[in-house]
Order: sequence, then C-alpha cells, then structure tokens
Amino acid sequence: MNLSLNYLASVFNSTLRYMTPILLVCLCAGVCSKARVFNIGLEGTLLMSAFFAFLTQYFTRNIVLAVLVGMITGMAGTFIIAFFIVKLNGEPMIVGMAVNKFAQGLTTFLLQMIFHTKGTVSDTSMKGLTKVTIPGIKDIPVIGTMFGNLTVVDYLAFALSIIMFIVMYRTVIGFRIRCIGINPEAASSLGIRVPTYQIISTTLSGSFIGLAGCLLSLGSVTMFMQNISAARGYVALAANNLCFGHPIGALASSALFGFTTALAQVLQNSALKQQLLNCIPYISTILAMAVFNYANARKRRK
Amino acid sequence: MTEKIFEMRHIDKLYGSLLANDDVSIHLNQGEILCLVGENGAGKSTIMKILYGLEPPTDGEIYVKGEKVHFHTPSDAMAKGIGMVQQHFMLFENMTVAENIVFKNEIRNGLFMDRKRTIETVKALSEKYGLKIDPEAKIEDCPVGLRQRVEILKILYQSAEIIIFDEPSAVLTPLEVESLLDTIKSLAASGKSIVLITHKLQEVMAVADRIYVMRAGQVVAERLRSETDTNELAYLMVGHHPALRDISAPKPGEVLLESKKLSLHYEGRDILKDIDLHVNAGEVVGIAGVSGNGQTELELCLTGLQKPTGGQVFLMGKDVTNASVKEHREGGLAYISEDRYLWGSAGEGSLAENVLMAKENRAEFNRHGFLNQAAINNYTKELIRRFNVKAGDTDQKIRELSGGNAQKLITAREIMMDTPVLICCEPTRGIDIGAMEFIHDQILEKREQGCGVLLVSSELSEIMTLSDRIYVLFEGKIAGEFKRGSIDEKELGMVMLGGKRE
Repeated sequence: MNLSLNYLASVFNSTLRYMTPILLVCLCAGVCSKARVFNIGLEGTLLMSAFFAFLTQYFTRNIVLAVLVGMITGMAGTFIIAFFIVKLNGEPMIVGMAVNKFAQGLTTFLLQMIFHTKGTVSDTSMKGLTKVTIPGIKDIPVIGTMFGNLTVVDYLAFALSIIMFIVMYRTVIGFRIRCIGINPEAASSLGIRVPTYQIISTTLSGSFIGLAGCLLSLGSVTMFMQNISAARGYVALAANNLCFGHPIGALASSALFGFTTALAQVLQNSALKQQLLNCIPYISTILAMAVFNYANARKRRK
Repeated sequence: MTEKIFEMRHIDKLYGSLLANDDVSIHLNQGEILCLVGENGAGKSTIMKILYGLEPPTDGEIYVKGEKVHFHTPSDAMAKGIGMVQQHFMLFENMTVAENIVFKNEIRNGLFMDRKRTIETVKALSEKYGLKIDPEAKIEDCPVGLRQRVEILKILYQSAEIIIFDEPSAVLTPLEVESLLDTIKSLAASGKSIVLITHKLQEVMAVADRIYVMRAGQVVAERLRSETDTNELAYLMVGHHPALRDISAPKPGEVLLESKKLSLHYEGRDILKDIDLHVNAGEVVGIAGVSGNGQTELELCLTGLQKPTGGQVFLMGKDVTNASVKEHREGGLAYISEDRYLWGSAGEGSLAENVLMAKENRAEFNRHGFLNQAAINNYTKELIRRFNVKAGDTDQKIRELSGGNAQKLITAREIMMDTPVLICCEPTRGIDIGAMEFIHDQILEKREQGCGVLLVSSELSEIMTLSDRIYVLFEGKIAGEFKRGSIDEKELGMVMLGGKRE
C-alpha cells in the first residue's frame, strides 16, 4: 500500500514538473490570444530561450544571468512575432512558422559551432535552477515525494497564473487588452493606440516563455539537446485553446498535458511499445481539442 | 438670438475626382435638433465625418463655440464635446454594458478597476438621462436597440454636448425607433444639441427643429419643421415628385408556393406554429409583423435553409419540405435575403463574382468547368446598366458599393434567375428613396409577368403599397389575412402588436 501511494506521488510529481513549462508558455499564449496577436511561434521562441539560457549558464555559471537571458530571448522572439503581425501586417501563420524554423536552424547551427555536436550537450559540473526544499515537508513520506525536486521557476509558474489572472481580469491595463482583442476598431475609435498595447503586452508575456525555456535546459536536468522543446509550444497553444486564454484555466489544461506526459513515462515499464507511449501526449491533445470543441459547438448552438 | 454651438463654413470634400461636399455651410444652435436629410450619397454622412474628425475637409472652416478648430482624429472632436453614434456599433461584445461605457476613462482604484463605482456611475448616468439599461448585462445578450442605448450613454459619459446620430433607425425595429426618438427629444430638452442624419421623413417630422436637405453634395434647402411637410422634403431630396403607382387588379393564377401547418419548434419554444400560407401566380403576398415574430425563420424554412420541425412546404406543387437549397432554387425559387451582406452577397467578392453566384453552372458562363470571364463581365455590365447600379468596374468589391446599389445588384441577380417564385425579405431596408422605388417597380414587374412574390418586410408602408394580400405574423402564428384595401395602416399595426381588429 505504502509503495503504491509513493508510486502515485511520484506520478503527481512528474505531472507537476512536466506541466510547468507548458503552463508558462500557455500564459504567454493567453495574453497573445486576448490581445488578438495570433502567435504560433511559441515553439521556436521556447527553443531559443532554452538554448540561450543554457549557453549563458555554460559560460558564466551565473544562474540569475542565465534566467535573465532566457527571459530576454523569450521577449525578443515574441516581440519580433508581434511586430511583424501588428505593424507590418504579416500573415500570422507565416510569421510564426518562420520563427519556428529559424529557431530550429539557429540552435542546431550554434550547437555545431560552439559544442561541435549535433546531439546533446551537458556538463556535470554545471548547476541548474535552485531546487526549493520546504522545510518539514521534505521528510514526510508521500508529500515529500509529491513536491520534491521542484525549482523556484516551477513555483513561480503557479504563482504567475494567479498573478496573470489578477492583471488580466482586475486591472485597467488587463481590461483594455481584453477589449482590444474583442474589437480593435472600437478601441481605436476611442483613441486607444491599439498596436502599441498589442506589442508591449505580448512582448512582456514573452518573458514567461523564457522561464519555460530555463525549465527545459536548466530544470530537472541540466543539458541542451537538439529540439529540446519537442512541440511543447504547440501543446501549449492547444492548452490555451482549451482554457480560452484564461490564466486559471491554464492551470487545468496544462495539468492535463503534464499528466499525460507523466503517464507515458510511467507506462514505459509496461508491455506497450515505446513509440506508442510517446504518442500519448499528442493523441490526448487531439482528443481533448476534439471533445472540447464539440461540446463547445453544442453549447453555442443552444 | 440663440447661440451657434458649431458652424461649418464653405466645406468642400474631394474623394479622388468625386466632389462629396460642395461648398456646404451649416450650423447648429444650442439645444436644437437638426436633421440632415438626403438620399444615400448626398454627402450628409461625409459632412458629419468631417465634423467628427474622421475625414479632413479639402477646404473650408469649422468653428465650435466660436472657436476655430482643426480635428485630426475623433479624439480631438470628443475633447471639444462632439460625440457620434455610428451606424455600425463600436462595442465590446462579451464585456458588460458598464465596462463598455467607461472604456478609456475607466473608474480606477490605483491600477485596478473599481467595479462597484463603475456600476454606480453608469447607473446614475442612465437614470439622469432616462436611458434604462442593466449595467451588468453582457453586450452580446443585448438586442440592437439596447446596444444603441449603450452607444449613446458612452457618448454622454464622455460629457459630449453635441451628439451626432448617423442613420440611427436603420437597424431598429419600429418600437425601438419610437423609443429612440423619445430619447433624442429628451436629450435635447436636457440641453444637448443634436444632429440627426436620416432619410426617413416621418422621423424628421417627429423630432426636428430645423432641417437641411442635401442633394449631390450640396445643401439645397434649409427649413424649419413648422414650415414644411414630408411631401416637400421628399421633393427636395429627390429633385422630382415620387411617382404614384397605378397597380392593376390582381389576376391570381395557380398556387406556386404553399405551406401547410408549417412549424418550427426550438428549445421548447414554438418559433413558428401551424403556418398555412400560399402564394399564387400573379400576386404579391406580404408578410407583415414586428421583427422577431418569426419572419426570419419563416423565410429560412421556405427557402430550405432551415428544416421545419413540422408541416410541409410545396413549391410548384412539389413537396420540398426537406429538400436542399439547391433543389429549391432549381425548383423555381429565387430569394433576396434580409441581410444583404450576411446572406445576400460575399462582401469581399467582386461585382462579377456576386452576379455569377447560382449561375456558375450555366452553359454561357461555364465551359467544361472553366469560367468564361468575358461573358461574365459582359453580363455583369448589362445588369449594372439595366438596373441602374452606380458602380465602377466589374471587379470592384461589392462591399464598396453603397447599400442601395449593392441591394440593386442583388435584386438584379435574383430577378434574372427568372424563376416563377421570388421571396424578398426587407428588400429596401436602409436604402434611399430612389433605389427603393426602383426595387418596388421590379417587384411589380415580376407580378405582371405572372410570377408569385412573397414580400417579408417590417416597413408597413411597403407592405401596404405592394401587396395584394397580407398575412400578419405575430409570435410565430398567422394573426390575420387581409386583402388589399380591406385594412388600413393603423388597424394593421394593431394586429401586428397582437391586438384584434377593431
């Protein structure tokens, strides 16, 4: 009994660790969708953030600086996307895909140039993000496992979803951003500078992608490998769709994807083929979207 | 001597080579209701857009309270106390009424929205001007009349003193129009100065103090309400007296379109209940009623766009109850829908493409799957000429046409389908007298040819003029059937509101 409880606790723990990067990206996607900037370049932005955060840590061994660089990369990527879409009237699909492809190319290229490898870089002497140990909890058997191994940024992710709720739904700025997303013409007819709001709000939220990138390359493992983001940007996009850009809803939808990823890992020891298991998070994405959209369409028809 | 709150002197406005405003000089007095009347394209909206800072004038001067102004954006105009209720509402759909009203000048508590005070302020504002609203209702749940009220409150919240209404009644039901006119009067009584742009002369006579008539970009007349009447205004607007129609006696032939016990049940409500109606060859049958009493659903059921939940529809004697739209059209039905942009046309499509719709498989336009562009363009040009549509080239977007001209082109397309049955819904909503007369002529011409026309309209005078027979729709049921001349407008109005004929 004790064993199986511990087992469940470790699944819970994996769920938390898998969900936080998705949650952070999802929070950025939420701001983008509320401000009506259709951003599918989350994936590429995430990949670049993970890379530059890792690179900074590798050479400076200064974790605060590494996180900062990650956040700045996230903001830069999001700014480029928002600027091209809002100011230069670019087709959002093309702009987003361009950033994704660019990120893949750039990170692979720099990996080759700097580390002379096409695969994985790690350095055992390198430290990742600071792990948080809550005194007292650590030694309680089950609960200790549930909340073990989480970094500052993991906790920050949860806090951010509450903070973002307050920002978006309680403050004047959030109110204006949501209004702009609903009807940009109406907002500008009242003399609001819509593009400025759109670009600044999405760019700032890009820092969340930066934090997610840090979690990938400096979180539970300290390493960078090619395509380390592994479609998490797209999964976050789907998660954002499920929660309609609501920061608290983002907790639930990213938990769903965190859990399915954890499940895939748990089942590794079973008879199921590895390739099949790797599909679980993605199949569940498709299923969740289908079920959710169907239910939604029905509700709207009423 | 009353004070002039604004004055525009010798305004010219050029769009390319088109002179939209030609030496227009107008002014508004404090507390006055001024009406600008004229046909579509007469330049009345243009002159107000200039005043509201949406368009710069090519030439001329504007004075607000004696001070010369240059507006570059609506914000400049708003800062001088000028607000405009646009035809297309500028609202945030899933925000509340109160949130919409305070946007940009939010009531805040530091960084945060102060919800309680927002609601209180909006409530106080609505009470002050007698404009009843629920501050916490979502806009998406508000009917059009309420949304307009929110637009008005929005302007009042920004403490505007001059309020411009651009064709405010075009989107409203008759009851809503009445309450709007009351609102306008009470706003003027409370000291606001009002400009009302319209081409509905009954409204003008109901509220105006003073009237400018515009035609072809110029002010052709200035009248006090007390010294004019609708006849004179109509004459001044169009430049000639509206033709009186001589309608021949109906020669009804066989039944072309018929519904038997047609019902539509939706979410526990009867939208349509046991509708028995028929349209014979050679007659125009009107469906009268206050909008929202099932007209839209009736037209959808009759055209195959919506499957009824009970009863039957017969077209040319054939049961088409569950047939597709295509089968309806092939069976002899053409349809002018009530919303010309939502269903009647593809706004972004060219004139030629819109004319081609439903004719794309005809041999003269389609050779083995390839479109014959030359033939299509020639055909479009012919329709534009014959139906007197003011349009540029055939590859112009239909959305760029004025409402009246777009409607003429859609009417042309449907009439040229050459079908025995034509259903027209609100064929003249929001268009000017000239285009309206033209479309009415087309409908009567269709009747002369021995076709059956079903006319759905919330415009009573239209129904009264054109229909040989009238069905009144009330709460989804037929509340009465009347032959031409057997009922007057007042009695019909009673039946429409659910009353019995006196």
